[in-house]
Amino acid sequence: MLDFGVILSNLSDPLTLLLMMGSASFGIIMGAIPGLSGTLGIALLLPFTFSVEPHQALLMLGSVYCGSEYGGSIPAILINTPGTAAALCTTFDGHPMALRGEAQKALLTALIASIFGGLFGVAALLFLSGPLADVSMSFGAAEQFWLCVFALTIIASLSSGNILKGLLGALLGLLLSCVGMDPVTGMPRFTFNTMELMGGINVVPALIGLFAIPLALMLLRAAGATSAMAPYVKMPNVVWNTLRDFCKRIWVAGVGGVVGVIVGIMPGAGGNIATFVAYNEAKRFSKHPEKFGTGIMEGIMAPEVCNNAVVGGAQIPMLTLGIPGSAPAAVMLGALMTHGLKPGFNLFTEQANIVYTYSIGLILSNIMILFLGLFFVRVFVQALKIPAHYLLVSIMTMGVVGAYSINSSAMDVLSMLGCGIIGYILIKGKFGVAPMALGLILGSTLEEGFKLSLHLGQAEGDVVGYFFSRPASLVLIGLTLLSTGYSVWKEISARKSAKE
Amino acid sequence: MHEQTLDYCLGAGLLGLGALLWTQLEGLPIEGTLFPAALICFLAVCSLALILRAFLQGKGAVVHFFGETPVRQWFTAVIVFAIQCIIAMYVSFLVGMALGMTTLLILLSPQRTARSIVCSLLFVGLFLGAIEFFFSSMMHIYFPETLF
Repeated sequence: MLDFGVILSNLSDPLTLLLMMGSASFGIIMGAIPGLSGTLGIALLLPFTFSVEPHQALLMLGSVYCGSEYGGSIPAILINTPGTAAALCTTFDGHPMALRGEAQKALLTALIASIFGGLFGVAALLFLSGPLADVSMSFGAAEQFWLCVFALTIIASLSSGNILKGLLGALLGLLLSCVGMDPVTGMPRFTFNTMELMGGINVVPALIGLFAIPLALMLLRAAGATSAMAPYVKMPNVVWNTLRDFCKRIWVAGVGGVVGVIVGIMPGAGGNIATFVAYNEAKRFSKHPEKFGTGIMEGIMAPEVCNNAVVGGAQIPMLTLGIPGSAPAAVMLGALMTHGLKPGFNLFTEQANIVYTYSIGLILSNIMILFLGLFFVRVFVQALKIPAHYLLVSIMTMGVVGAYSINSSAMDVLSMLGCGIIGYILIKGKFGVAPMALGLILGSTLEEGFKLSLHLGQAEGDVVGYFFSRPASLVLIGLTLLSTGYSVWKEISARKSAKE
Repeated sequence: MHEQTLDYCLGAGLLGLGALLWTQLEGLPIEGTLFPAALICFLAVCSLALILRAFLQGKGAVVHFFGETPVRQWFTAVIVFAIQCIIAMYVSFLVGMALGMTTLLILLSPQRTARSIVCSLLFVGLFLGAIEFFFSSMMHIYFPETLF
């Protein structure tokens, strides 16, 4: 039975609030350190939750999840290295803002966007759990495949003016994602008969290499200077000004939130794909799409709102159907079961007080992250005052530590190093590293969706029909065609106007 | 190096990579090769298109591969970093990191005085201490100490 008195009492307990605060801080740190992640944070904290009440345990783990999603944006903005794969799109505009001396504003934008996204996701969790869970059930392998294809259309945006090079970069990333054991046949591919490559190329070390190492190599030229980046200028009322600018661009937050919730509830999709879709859509709807990638607030808002909205979205199928929508949600599901809570519609009736304490508590958790973030922003911007050679050496060392800490594997460090060199060559060749990172992230999901659809289609006796006739697939195909058509039309228009 | 030359090199390099990866697909069942084979074919077509476009567009702008960094400094930093990684992974993490970080800091420091060297050593000590404390003591992630 739902009793709001119990929920209020649970949420006003000082111990619960203290545990949430500590967990949120831990989550921010886990997200901010490249290589560590919210999933790892939740897994590490899980044993510590055995001795507390189930609602406290869920709130602790939920706070880590929310905190880590925000934390990923901090290194993305300051050192062009996404703390988590979902924060990759934040580098596109966040780091250029930091280079321009607006690091504090960029960090505050990420913070406000994260809180907005978190609250948006929680609202969806509270009010739309039932209907959205039904929608998520209509998503199968074919939809997973088409969603990845739709996300790939962002290549046109990422490589504006040079789609061919963007495409080549993405293909390189997709091919790298095929290295290792084939998920269906179990046969090794592209391993050159080495055991080390059997496990494949881990995405996070490769991302660290692609983004951090080229940046460090480019800092070499500034090594003699006192600062690697433009020192941030202390702006009066920066918090209020950022909030005001955020409100002026609230439509971007809306786009990010909707995309985050929808993609979040799709099993297996997660924040990595969602942020690309959100960034692309925000750019498409913008009156000034050409400014994306140069350091504008919209470019930080869309991915940050989105990856935090995924938190709420991913928990909808987890709580209602027992199907996690993301990797951290999968670990959360384990925690839920450890505490004797069985996911499903009964959870909302039999254990309503715990579930609603958790859902409403996530709102409190996001508010705590807001205050923690306001404190952390002041600390983190000091990183810009570090002399270039110290920053360079720190980035390189953290790259090694981050790559190694994921699987305690030397191979991850070597692949980080290799991807770093490839990234530098790609940047110099004007390919950019983002398309390759996109290919690397989407590769395994795309292939899995493709193969599963192929097998299911064969089982049904109509492969083409399975790929092309399902209603949700048709919507995604339509969106892909619209997205591609629009990008091509924009490119042709831009070339025509340039000639005139 | 002109943009055209770089595009020729990269296009040829990608074609070579595609050919190399194609040889790795031999002997595998069709289910395992369908997706990567399609990617390799697409990569080959795009690489040829890149070469063709470079040929049609002319020389293009000059690309400074090492930017404003002296070539010797660039290569020294990359080699020191690579050795640092190898020692850290296969000999001793702390020794490799300490040696690599100190060498890089001294090499890249704008002035090499006794004070700057002491500052570098202090920075390396504190940085590695913080990493050991957070990762090994708190997170129980242990770094390789293969030989010592």
